[in-house]
Amino acid sequence: MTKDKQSPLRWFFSLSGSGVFVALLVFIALVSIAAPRVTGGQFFTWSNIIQVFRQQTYIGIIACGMTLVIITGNIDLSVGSQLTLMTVLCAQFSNAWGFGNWALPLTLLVGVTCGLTNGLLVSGLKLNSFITTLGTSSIFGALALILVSGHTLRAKTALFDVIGTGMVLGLIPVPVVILLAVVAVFAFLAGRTVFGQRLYAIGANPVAARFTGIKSRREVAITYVLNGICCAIAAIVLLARSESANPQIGGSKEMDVILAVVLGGTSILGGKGSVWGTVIGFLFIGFMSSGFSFLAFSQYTQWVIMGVILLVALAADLYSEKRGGV
Amino acid sequence: MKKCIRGLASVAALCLAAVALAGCSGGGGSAQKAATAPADRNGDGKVVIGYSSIAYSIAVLPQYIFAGLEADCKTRGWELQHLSAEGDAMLQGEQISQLIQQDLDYLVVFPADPMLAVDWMKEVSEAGIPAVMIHTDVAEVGREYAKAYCGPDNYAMAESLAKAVVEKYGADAGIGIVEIGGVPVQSDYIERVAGFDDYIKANSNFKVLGLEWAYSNRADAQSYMENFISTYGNQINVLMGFDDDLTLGGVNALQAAGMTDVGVYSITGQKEAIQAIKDGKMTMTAYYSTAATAQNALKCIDDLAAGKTIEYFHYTDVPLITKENADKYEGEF
Amino acid sequence: MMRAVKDTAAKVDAAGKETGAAGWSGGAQKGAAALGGAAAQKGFGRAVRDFLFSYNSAVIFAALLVFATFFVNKFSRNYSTVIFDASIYGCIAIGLSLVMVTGNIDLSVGFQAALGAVVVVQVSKLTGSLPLGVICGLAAGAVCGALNGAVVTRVGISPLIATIASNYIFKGIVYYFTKNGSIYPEGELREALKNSISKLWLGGFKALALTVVIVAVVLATLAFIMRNTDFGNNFYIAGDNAEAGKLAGINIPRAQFFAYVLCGLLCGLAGVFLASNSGAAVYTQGEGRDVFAISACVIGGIKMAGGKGTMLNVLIGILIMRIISTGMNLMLLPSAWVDFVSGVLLIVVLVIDKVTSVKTEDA
Repeated sequence: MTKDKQSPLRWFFSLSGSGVFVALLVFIALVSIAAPRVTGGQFFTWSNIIQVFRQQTYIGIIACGMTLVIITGNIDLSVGSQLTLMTVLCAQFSNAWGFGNWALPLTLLVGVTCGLTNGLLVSGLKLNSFITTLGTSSIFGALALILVSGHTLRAKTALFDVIGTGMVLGLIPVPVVILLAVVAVFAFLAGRTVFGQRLYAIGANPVAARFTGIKSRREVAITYVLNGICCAIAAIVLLARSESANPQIGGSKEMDVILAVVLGGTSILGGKGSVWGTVIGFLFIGFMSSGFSFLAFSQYTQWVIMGVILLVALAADLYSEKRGGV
Repeated sequence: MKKCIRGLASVAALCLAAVALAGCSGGGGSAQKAATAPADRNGDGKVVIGYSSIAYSIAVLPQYIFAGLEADCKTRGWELQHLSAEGDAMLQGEQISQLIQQDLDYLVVFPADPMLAVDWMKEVSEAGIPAVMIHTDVAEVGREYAKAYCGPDNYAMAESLAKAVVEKYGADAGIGIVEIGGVPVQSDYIERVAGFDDYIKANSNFKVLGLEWAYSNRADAQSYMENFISTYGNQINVLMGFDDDLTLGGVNALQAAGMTDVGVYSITGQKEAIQAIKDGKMTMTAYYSTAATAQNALKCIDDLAAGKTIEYFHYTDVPLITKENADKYEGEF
Repeated sequence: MMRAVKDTAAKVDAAGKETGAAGWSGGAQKGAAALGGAAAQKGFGRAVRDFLFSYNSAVIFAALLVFATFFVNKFSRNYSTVIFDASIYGCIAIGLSLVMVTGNIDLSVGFQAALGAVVVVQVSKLTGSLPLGVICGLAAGAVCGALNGAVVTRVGISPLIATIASNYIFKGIVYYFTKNGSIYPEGELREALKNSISKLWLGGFKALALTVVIVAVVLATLAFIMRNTDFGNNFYIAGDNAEAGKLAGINIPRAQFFAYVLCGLLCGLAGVFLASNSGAAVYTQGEGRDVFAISACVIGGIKMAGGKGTMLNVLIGILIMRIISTGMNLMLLPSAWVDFVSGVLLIVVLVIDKVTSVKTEDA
């Protein structure tokens, strides 16, 4: 049976997140033309691009971890609450409880703990990941309120200043460098390690994976722990940005993270997707937010358009799959 | 044997639930010594003040109103039984229903929304509990159910800032203003925005370029300000922040962009904000004393207990802090 | 056709499904059969255990009720409040349970209800007619449900993502209308809104408010439909064993679609109740209700995988959640504790389920 020679175009569109990438370029082009007419601002500038990266940093970091979780066919709805919990704890550690810069490793430890909790429940007890992480989401969110209620949450050490406002090579903000580092690590894990291959196998066919000897329990637990660490890093970055924390800071950020991962082409059913696609996903969201403010669109318009775009993108994905016969 | 496990597991579940419910001591009461006799309206030997707030753990200002009430009750030897709905207006209605079943002498309410509060206050008044509104008033149709309102005149407070802006920039044309508000569905912020915008928009020299709602998140306020800066750049002459906590995020963005000659106006009077004014990063803030508001509320209760008739409105003074008088103020939080 | 369906399902049932758990014919039936016919053979104790199998949430409910009555200050005065509040938010959980039984999920239920409330208020204001507003509110809910159903069954997008997306859309619409605070009809119309539904208490009892009566009727009707009609049975088959159902000629996508529409309709009803109870529509009416509904369903005994669960499960789940919430208010505990307990209870229920179902499979 002869194999058709794949045209470069076909290859491009078979990449995870490529459709969204094209849509992103189109969107940027449109806004760049329209913005000066509407509000007088210039959209496609270096400083604005850096700004989008900077604003999406914490979503992007968590999205990397979430990608691995979703690839295995699971989900983690507790990331928003984990972000809240770790932001307020980090502020408490560094300020009120006087640990200073030791707050950072302590926060990472909290992230590991939260991740382990999720991991043990989902992989060890084999509970449904959706409901379990919904439950832990409530628990972590409640803990954030209970543990720090009544305190002013500030963090003002030199290290936070560096993370929040420092620049590497005078050009790229420290948070963005952290984001790129996390992306690189996770892309490597997912794409170039045996661990990553196992994750895809578990997601694609859990039963078969088990029969080929993959200890899926351990792998799945590790993805949740990594996710927890990502939340911790994101919390530190978020806290460093404004040096003040608030027990509602996480809000419903988990939806934004899932949005980013799914837009990037990772299938919610598992087994498919890539970290690079996720990068496109959160960049898309970031540029859209920024673009909307350049066009003076209100928050509600943004939400509605976001929802519609998500549906269209997923429908297009399904359609191309059916046609391409993948 | 296996079926027993399910039974045992169910028992374990209910034990866990029971422990969780019982394990935490009643978070509400800070029981104190003997009561001030006049305020002991129901004659049970102690004075119990109920407090229902839309939020006191998730935003700075309500936190300090609560702290003020708590401190004042402690000095008087009164017990404060409090519940916070953490932003959920429907929950506040339920909490008020349950709060009035406790043996309250008086009730203080910081409602989510004036119109929703009408029915809540009706229920309170039917239960025979005299109530004082704090920081956000009940709607006009419901004023018969409450005894007093203590707090800022949110509309006038914002208007005074608008007047200051017009005074400073009035002669120039094409002044661009960006606004950052707090929780969009909470009426104190809505009134402030209305107070500011109504006055500003009457003057054609000024243009409101945009308004974003940052809830209680300084980081979000910072992001919105960065977006404003990228979009409008030098068109921005004034930043009006409706809450110091959020305005400080805007200030971070302005400082990072090097836009140090933008006028920054704000509300609340936090310590950080007063310091920012001294440092020249902020222009003016309306100093709203949460401690004074809390004291007013309890003083109203004192007067009610003594049988005096009191006025309805007890507005907290809101002086405007600028670099000139910043040294006189310390800020409460 | 009906016989063929029942035969197929019976074969599927017999092919090693969990005994005792609510099969597609309904756990209550099995429990009752166990209590009745099996009593002679298996003994009363075994029959009771079978009942507890399907309804271990009933144990939790009973325990919470007892604990609250004796240990929570003044709880015994609040039974009617618990029932009343349960009726208002319960509609959302009931609607969601239908979707969950068919094996899907709907994360947009909270804002479907809020949208219903917004539509009721807006239409009443525009037309001056309250009944028209109510009808439009219900219709709006059904339309939202239809949108979800169409996206999931016709386009084929995973229900989790599809309803996250539709949640954004509904959220945006609600926010647009309520961004300047609560919206409400003026004067007399507002009085009519408040007094017509939620303040209408039969015999003066809060526990017999019109909302409670309506929800009771809805529950009974749905329970009947789910157990005794093809339409309802198809929901279970869609969730339990869609392949067998397809072979037997059942239109599975259509069953799932109707589950979404019914869910939307019930969310619209919840929106009507919310608007009536507050006399207004507010943005926060939509926030967090999805977590409440999912928790109520799962704690009550509806399984995420679908195909199992009855109206009794949902009812118990809703009551459990309301007892916890009301009880904690009366104990003056911060609302964070309600979230904490709900989260823990959710996981505990999952663990109990997992532990006991594993044991049964070994049997």
